[in-house]
Amino acid sequence: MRNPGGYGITTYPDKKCEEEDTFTCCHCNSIVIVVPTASAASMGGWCALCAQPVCQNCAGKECFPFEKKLEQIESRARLFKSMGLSD
Amino acid sequence: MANYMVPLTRNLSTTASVGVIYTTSAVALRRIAIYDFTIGVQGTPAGLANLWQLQRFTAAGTSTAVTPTPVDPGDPAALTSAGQNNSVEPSYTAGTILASKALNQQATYRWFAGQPDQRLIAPATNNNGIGVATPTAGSVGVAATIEIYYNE
Repeated sequence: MRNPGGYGITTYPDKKCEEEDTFTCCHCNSIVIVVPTASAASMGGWCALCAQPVCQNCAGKECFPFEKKLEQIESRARLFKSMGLSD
Repeated sequence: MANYMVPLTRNLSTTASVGVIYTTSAVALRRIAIYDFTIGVQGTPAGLANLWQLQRFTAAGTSTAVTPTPVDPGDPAALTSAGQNNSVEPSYTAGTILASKALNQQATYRWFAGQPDQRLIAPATNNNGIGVATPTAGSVGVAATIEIYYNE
């Protein structure tokens, strides 16, 4: 995978550091570790609408971008607040 | 958008979270975007492993407040709240584990987002945020810390 965007570094006291590439699922915002030489499908999949990789849980499901989810959560909270149902 | 850092510490427990970072403000609610975190044990580490997890929640529970520090001293104080050493667990949302890392206590792990779209984002909704837990631990009672860098 080219330019996965996230990086993880494990530092050990007695051996070399291990580095790994990660990507963040564009549908659920979870971090996925990129396994070198593994196919995209084995790490999840590819959302053609977002043009970004998705995790295994989101693979094969309807495109629901994470930004949309955030807006939905925030608008729901605003609605509840305006109705006096929560703070 | 300003950058902040907050360290969350507790003696490892499989039932109580290390800490939480969440949106709450009487002034304005802002999204939290974590772009860097480092986890490790600063007590006397054993050659045993812990499972670290970052997960979303919708209620922050009870914890000891920790004040996030602006990375740039010229930035204003954070509107986001943070807490450590939870005595009441946050209401974690099922199926929203954002990061999961099994790590030997003698090792340190750092993750960072190289691009803005890789950040872990919590909505600008009251008491919503991201908690850090160690649901599995080879040994408990050892002091451990996660250092979180985020934008708000």
